Amino acid sequence: MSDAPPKDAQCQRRWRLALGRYAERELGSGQMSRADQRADRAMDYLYAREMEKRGMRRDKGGGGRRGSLDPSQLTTLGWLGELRELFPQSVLETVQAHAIDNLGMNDLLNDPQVLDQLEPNQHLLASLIACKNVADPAAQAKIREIARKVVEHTMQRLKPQVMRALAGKTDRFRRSQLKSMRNFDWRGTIRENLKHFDSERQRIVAERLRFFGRSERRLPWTIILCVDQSGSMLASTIYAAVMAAILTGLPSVEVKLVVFDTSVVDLSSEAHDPVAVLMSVQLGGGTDIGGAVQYCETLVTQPTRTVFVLLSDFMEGGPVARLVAAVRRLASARVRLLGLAALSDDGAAVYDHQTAQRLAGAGMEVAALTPDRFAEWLGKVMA
Amino acid sequence: MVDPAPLHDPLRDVFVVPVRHHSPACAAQLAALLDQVQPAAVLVEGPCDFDPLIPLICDARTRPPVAVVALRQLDGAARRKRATSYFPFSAHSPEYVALRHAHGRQVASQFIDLPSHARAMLFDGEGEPARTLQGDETLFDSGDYVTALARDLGCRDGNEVWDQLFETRIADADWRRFFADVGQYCACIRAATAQSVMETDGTLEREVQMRALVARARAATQGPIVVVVGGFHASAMFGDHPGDGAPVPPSGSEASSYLVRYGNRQLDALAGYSAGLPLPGFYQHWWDWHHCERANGATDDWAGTLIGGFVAHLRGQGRAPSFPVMLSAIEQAKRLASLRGRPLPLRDDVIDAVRSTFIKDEIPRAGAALLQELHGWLTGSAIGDVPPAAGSPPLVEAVRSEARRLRFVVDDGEIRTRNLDIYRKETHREASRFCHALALVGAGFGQRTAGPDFRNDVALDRLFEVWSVGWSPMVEARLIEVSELADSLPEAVIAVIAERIAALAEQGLGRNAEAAIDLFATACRAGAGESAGAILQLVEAEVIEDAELRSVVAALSDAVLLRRGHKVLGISDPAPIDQLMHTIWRRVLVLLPELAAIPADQARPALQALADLRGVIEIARSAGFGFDLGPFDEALARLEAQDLAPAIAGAVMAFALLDGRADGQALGLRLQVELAGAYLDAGERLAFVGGIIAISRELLWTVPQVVEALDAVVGDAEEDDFIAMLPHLRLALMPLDPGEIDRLSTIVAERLGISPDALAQVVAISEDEALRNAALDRELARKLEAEGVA
Repeated sequence: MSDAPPKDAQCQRRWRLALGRYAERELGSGQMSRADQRADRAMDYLYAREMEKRGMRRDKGGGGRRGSLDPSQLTTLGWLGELRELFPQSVLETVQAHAIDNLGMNDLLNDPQVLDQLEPNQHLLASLIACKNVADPAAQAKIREIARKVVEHTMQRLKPQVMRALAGKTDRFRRSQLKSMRNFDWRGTIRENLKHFDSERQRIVAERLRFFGRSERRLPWTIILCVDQSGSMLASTIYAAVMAAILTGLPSVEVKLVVFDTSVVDLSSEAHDPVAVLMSVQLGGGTDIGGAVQYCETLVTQPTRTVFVLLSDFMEGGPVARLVAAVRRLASARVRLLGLAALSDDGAAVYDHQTAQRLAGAGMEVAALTPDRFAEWLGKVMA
Repeated sequence: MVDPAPLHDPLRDVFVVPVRHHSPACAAQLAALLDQVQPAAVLVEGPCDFDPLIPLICDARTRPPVAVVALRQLDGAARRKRATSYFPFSAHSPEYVALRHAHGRQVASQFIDLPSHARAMLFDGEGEPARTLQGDETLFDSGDYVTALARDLGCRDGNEVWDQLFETRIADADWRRFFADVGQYCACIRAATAQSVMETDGTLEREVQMRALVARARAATQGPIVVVVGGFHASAMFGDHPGDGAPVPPSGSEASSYLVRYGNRQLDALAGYSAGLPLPGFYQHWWDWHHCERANGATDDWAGTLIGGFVAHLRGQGRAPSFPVMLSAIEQAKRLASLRGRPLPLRDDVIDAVRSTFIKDEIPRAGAALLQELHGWLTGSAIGDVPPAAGSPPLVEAVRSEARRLRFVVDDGEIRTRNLDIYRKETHREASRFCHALALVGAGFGQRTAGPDFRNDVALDRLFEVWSVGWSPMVEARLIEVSELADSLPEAVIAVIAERIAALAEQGLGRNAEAAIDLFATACRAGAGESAGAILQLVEAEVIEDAELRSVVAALSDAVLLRRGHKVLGISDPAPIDQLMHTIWRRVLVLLPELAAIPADQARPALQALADLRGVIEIARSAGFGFDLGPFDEALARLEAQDLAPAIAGAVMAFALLDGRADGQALGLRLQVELAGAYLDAGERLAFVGGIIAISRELLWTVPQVVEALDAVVGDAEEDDFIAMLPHLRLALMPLDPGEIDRLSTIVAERLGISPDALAQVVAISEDEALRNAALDRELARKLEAEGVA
């Protein structure tokens, strides 16, 4: 705004926007421009819902309803349009996330048209997966589309990181024409370029750089990804599905993907297709981690060349002793065990510390990692 | 043409009588046969482990319908006997008639089928646990042979064929011809059934057992023997079967059986009972009429008796048709019968007659109410009775007498509505608990259709609880099942709850405080209050393992609400709940330090839990049983020292202020730091304030520094930043209700120096203009009046 209104009026307008329509008596709406009023109305549409739940009724004064400047009642679709018009992208996404996460506007997610309007991001996808089973076929198709977009985006971001981490060990006895910082052979480079030593400036002029080659992994590894489907793990599940797809593409790595709540579903045959995996996630009521681990035990054929990754918040609903015993059996067979409390961008998680400690005691490494750190860990283990 | 089995095997002097279960005609003819043959032994198709119950079945005080209920061990069910199935008798069951005859003449009688725990008896053809122990008779209705016969006879289904061919002959003098025809009919049905079906559904195995027991009885008895079997098996009783072995003996441990009251409703083939006739009430009337009224010579008018009975039933509800309508219905039923070649109107004739005479209008597709009434009446709701010595388990008797005391009707199967005035009458409260308890046990006695829900705070303004209740044999059967665990209803409730708690882990809901307390509350509602201590430990074990603050706080809130409402729930001693409440409270304290590890983007559920916690603490305090807050404050103080997610930090700060450990000054400082903080995300910048408001929104007006700090942010931010913050501000302020928003805006207005008068917009209108407008108004009014639209 070029000709800024006086500070007090500005404050009044902003407070009025922040507090919503119920502040009108004290703060008025005189300071608000037409756009502000629309913004206020769009905000009220979402944030006044909560008050409705507490027994207040919006716009239901019966006959005594007072007139307003509102052109008409907002629909969800219209509301999204208003938001898009009035606010920048980042704010739009924030409001959308509030609507879905905190305010339970699940009706948002049942309308294919509305789904079209939403910004596809991981956040939205997680919410969509949580409620996809009640969606009708048309909405289902949309959800699949959103899943595909999000997965593609995530894949693009993760793939180079993972490939780098999982490329073989540097081989000091092989040279490569591939110029990559990670493979830089500084000893060799110095040795090679000693003849270009510039005595005047006391510097070596590196005319040719040398790089190591990388050894290709030949021995096959099996990676078992065992993924908890409970609601809190959804964000991690998306990464897990994408990781599984990337890992499937690696040479001489066999990926087993197992998802569970109280029952266990083996999605190994679908592991290459993260969208299919995400669409088959079913959120159940309980969690039986022990049962899933027991199932995964049957998948282990070569214990020493197997990595078992349990992605879970460890809120075990079944007997914990059974889970610990299964993990201990795996550990004593020398399977490499990793318990991931989260696979997310901030690598932080809420999980059951007590159970996690018992698992750590049974021989499982427990951590919450970002996807690239996870890839590094895998690379180290399988090197 | 299939050769019918002979009725009599002269070599062995054995009469094999083919019957259809519950058929009055078969029963009547069988009675004639027995009178004439005077057998030395009567053998009846039925599980041989029921033999000890024969004296009870024949007891003079037994009034059919009754049933033998068998509880059997299913494979894999480790602990409990399950798979309840029934062997029902009605007054017109040939089996019942045969047993009564034998009993009356001191003749030996026994059952000859496989024991009820044999595999062939446990499962039906599809491998599902069988509900009835009588052979499946669906073939009588839907077999190929019967379908073809129905077409030829012009009947609409197998039941009408049966009525036409056999029920009409209930009073025939020649029982030999009657049973020869039944035998022929059944042999044809059998011939149309695939051998493989009979192998898989256990028919052949059962027949081996029957033959073996018949042979053994033959060896032990002098004189004629009468064997009563389902018509389907009759032909298999004859001839040589070299493969037969010794009979399977009953085992005392694998199954237990009781004689229980049974109901017509459950006998109805249309309701899924595969060995019955449809509309058993009709056949009851049919039998009674032949057996009593006709025999006594009281009346000769069958159609009049039946339709008159239905009209009397309608009259009881105040909607009887006129007398001429009734007469024309009787007339029509008779004419229809003679048109269809029957001596007397049968089931379909009566239904058709009532339909076309009683109903004047179009019959809607869903069926007219009157027809449903007729259907219900012809099904009947009678429930039989058994002698007190029937040995029904103490639990059943206890529940029956309790039900009588609470004035529930247990003598018939009608479904009634009962309004319970649970606030004012102690008996009604007891009745409510009784209904809840039976619902919990899964007896299917009643269903709550309306009423206040204390736990979920729903419909608390309702004064009455409405239940729709109906006693049925299934209630008793379920009670018999549970009777192995308990002798009284409260004990049964405890036993069931204990089982459910144990099952939580199997459903993956173990270590979940909320689920466990839910069961505990259910037990309390079902009147287990006094003995709730028994499951207390189980519930506590779940609670102290729960690692989620949210569900523990939810459990705490449940416990507190239970404690507050314990009087309404009929718990005189709140000690168990107190104990539970404090266990949960300690669990909350244990989980509090873990808040430190919660990342900022996952703080919301934890924040909600903390807000709920504050509410619970307040409720407990106002109800006069506060918690020991010392350790709570200590835990929070320790948290304060750590690096917390902003929202959690705000919440902890709010608790500190409420407790007096911090003052407005400190809060103001902290707020300034947070709000000026270098957060990238506007949401995180406001999360601290959000945390404070979530826990205690009154701080907004009791501590002026909060609004001060907020004002600084609102006023000083760049416009873009402000817009980015707007949704987060709204979210943070959402716990406020409109009144509180108003109150807050008053404070803001004062701060900004806005007087309410300034808001009134002054619109300047000159005197001239005002006058002109007034004139215009008058003109308009006059015009409207002239047009007559004013």
